[in-house]
Amino acid sequence: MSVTQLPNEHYAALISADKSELPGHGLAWLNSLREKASNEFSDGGFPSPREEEWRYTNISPIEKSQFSLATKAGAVDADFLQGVLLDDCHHLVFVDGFYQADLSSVGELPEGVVVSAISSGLAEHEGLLKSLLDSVVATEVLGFINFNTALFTDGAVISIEENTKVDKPIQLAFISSEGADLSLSNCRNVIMAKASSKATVIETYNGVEGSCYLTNVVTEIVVEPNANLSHNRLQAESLKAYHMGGVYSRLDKNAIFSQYNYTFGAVLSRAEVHADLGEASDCTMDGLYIGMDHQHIDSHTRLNHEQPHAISNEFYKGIMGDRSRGVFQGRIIVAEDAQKTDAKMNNRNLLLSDHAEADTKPQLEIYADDVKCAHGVTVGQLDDTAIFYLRSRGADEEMAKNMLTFAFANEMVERIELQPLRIKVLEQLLKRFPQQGMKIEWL
Amino acid sequence: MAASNENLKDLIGQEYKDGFVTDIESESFPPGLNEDVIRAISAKKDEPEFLLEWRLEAYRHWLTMEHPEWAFVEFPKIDFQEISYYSAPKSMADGPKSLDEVDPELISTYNKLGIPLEEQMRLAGVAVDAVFDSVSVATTFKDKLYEAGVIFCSFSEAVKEHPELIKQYLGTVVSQYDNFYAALNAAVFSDGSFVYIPKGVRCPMELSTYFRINAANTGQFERTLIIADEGSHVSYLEGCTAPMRDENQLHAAVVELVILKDAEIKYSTVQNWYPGDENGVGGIYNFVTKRAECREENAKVSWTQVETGSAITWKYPSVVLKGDNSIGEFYSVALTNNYQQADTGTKMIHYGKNTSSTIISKGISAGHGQNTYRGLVKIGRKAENARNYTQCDSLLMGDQCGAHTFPYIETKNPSATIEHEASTSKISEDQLFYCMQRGISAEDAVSMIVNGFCKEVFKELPMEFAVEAQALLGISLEGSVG
Repeated sequence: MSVTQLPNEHYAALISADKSELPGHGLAWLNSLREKASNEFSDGGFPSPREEEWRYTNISPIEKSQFSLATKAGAVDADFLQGVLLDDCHHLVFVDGFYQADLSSVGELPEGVVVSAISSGLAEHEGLLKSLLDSVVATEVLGFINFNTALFTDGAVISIEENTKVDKPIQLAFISSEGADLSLSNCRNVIMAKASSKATVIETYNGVEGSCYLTNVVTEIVVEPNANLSHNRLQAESLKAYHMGGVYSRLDKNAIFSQYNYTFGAVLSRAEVHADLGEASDCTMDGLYIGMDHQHIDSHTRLNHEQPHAISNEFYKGIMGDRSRGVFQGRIIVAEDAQKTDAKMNNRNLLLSDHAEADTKPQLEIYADDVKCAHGVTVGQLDDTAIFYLRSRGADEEMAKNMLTFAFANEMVERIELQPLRIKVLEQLLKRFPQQGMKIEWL
Repeated sequence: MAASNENLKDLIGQEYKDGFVTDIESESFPPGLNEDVIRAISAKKDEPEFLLEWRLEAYRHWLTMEHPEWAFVEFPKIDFQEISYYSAPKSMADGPKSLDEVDPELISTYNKLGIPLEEQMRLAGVAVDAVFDSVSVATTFKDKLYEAGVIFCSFSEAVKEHPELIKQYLGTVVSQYDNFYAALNAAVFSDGSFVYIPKGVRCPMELSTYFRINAANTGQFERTLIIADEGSHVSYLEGCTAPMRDENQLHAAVVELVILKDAEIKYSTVQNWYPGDENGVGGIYNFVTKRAECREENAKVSWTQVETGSAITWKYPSVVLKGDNSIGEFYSVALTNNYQQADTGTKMIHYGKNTSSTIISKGISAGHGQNTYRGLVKIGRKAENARNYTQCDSLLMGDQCGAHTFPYIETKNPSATIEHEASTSKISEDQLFYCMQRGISAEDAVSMIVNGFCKEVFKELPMEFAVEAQALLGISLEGSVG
């Protein structure tokens, strides 16, 4: 099925370059893992639009831009950092792919809970990293994952102890500094929620507006029996940047996993969210993507129902303005053994401009008979009568459209339980669709 | 439930009723494909130069193409050099002047199938251009159609009698380079049907062609071209059965529909080719390219298909909505039992303003069947106020089968309204229990529920076909309760 192509020369050179500077060099198991990924990348390269899973997203601009690996973190403005960090969280800050201890504040954690960077905590948490790294990712098209495995410079290691609840959210802030133009950052995160634990992790991606860089990040998550993990992702990269992000998770028996995905930034971005569902597990995948200008936003989700009695709920909303293009590809796979599965997928798209495009591909692949699976998709525009009503009440056309668009998106915003995150998402929303007289503090 | 399951198994195990081989001396080419074979086919059919050139272009292009691998079907690699590309019942060479001269064996074949030509001639209402293997042997009701100005004949006849129409329309909907199997068809097609409905004519009867695949190892490469000129209307029926045989037979047909201003074509298919035995041995490969083009304003096309046969069904009857206000419809029931595989659906490509399309797809999987709906809805930049409604439902019977839904929705115009819904379920025990406590046997109850599930599609079929389709479902399915 997969079409292989040779990697672009520039990236082939990057991948075969000396890796002695990378964290964990000297660990035989990690070296061989990186070696394997390098070899596979050399054979396959980045995915091409000829591959079914990539037919709507052409990553050739990434190949043409020839990003090179950042070698050290640049300086980050204090105000900028302040704007990125969420209140009342445990913070780990990564700049250009490197952990910045002085900018981070992990604070106090319950006993047995690990929140650390790979670079600084490798010696202490090697076993944990070894057990998790490359254990969850599995997809037919591995280009960006292999590239990440071979070259990751840093990332977070998180482990939540059994029967422990971490009250405050853990924020992993990934920032691209002003000096990061034409550089690429490769971070790898591993998150383990042990049995009956509960925690919330927030990944945020920000960059200095106007700079062009590539973020290629992979997060692997294991949710053990009865554990409850909420994973949030706020992508607000520079509008000239490229973002390739993956979240790969495995849910054990009775695990609860909620993944929320908010995409606003980057000229070309793709978020892969995959979950393998264990028996009677419960998985939620929500997303909101808003594209303006020439943005191309691809959300790619996969729910693997491998065991019986699992429940999944997926709801993605997209707003496409200007010349942007939104892509949603959702796939639910129900294996033969996964009887009594209950899976729902929904994708709603709003097109605001004559030049915008929405491509959506919701897929069901079902091998078990006693299941409930449904998906729904809509693509449409703002309701003329609703606009007329608002105008008859004195709103001008722009205001009326902004109000209705905001309301369309707000359904997803209201689902966010974490107040600080909700405010960040609202900020992004209001930046694009200003609401007259509306203040964030009120919401 | 256990007892009823037994019954169901018996019913699923029913043998293909139309399986028999008529022994007629076929004049076949030896297996193999090269330019000489194509020249020979063309020469045998006494074709004009332009058609031979067209075939050769297609063949040369085909050589550069790769076999498509994206579909959700599995089958061993086809060796195209092992297929014989021409087979005609020998008695054809003398050219029967009337039905009496037709090989009696042929007639009895049709009798076994329950479509006696004589009777149909008398019954009127349906004109049959029966295609036995690759050459049309009997055409009925030509005169009546001729009076109306309708041209309904075999493709090779049309090439001789109406070369200007062929030249004007052939390959304008499905070009000879379109896809792997369409290119192959263009190179080697042996015969098919040709219909032309002139301006303002409402075809006085439903046109129907029965296709049969007969000689062993002969790929059937039919080509159908239907042109509905301004303001005309035609309903076309296509039904198929094939004899039982152990080797896989390839069927790669091409159907082109051209619909001009204010015209309408209704194309109905009941496909019941040999699906292979209960172990998945044998059966027809049905790889067909069907496409309609609503070329001008207010054109309408409606595809209705009931696909119960074939080992592999791989086809997407499509509509290109070019003309403003044109309408495309697709109604489908696809059933897979035993080891059958189906990857079918439609493409609705909206280019004109105010175009609308409806897709209703019902997939039923039983046994080890794999049933995939794959459909594209594409709204072009200029398709103002385009409208699409899609509903695809799957019914699963048994825990060994699969039902898959792969819709592709691409929208480039904000005024488009698109709705897509899909659901997957099994026959609920409650429904079954309700029927049974009212004294309805398990298999009747299942048949009733399945027919109800498919009703939206069946009601689109012409009367005779609807009856046939229900009976087909009955035979192929009755009793597959999960």
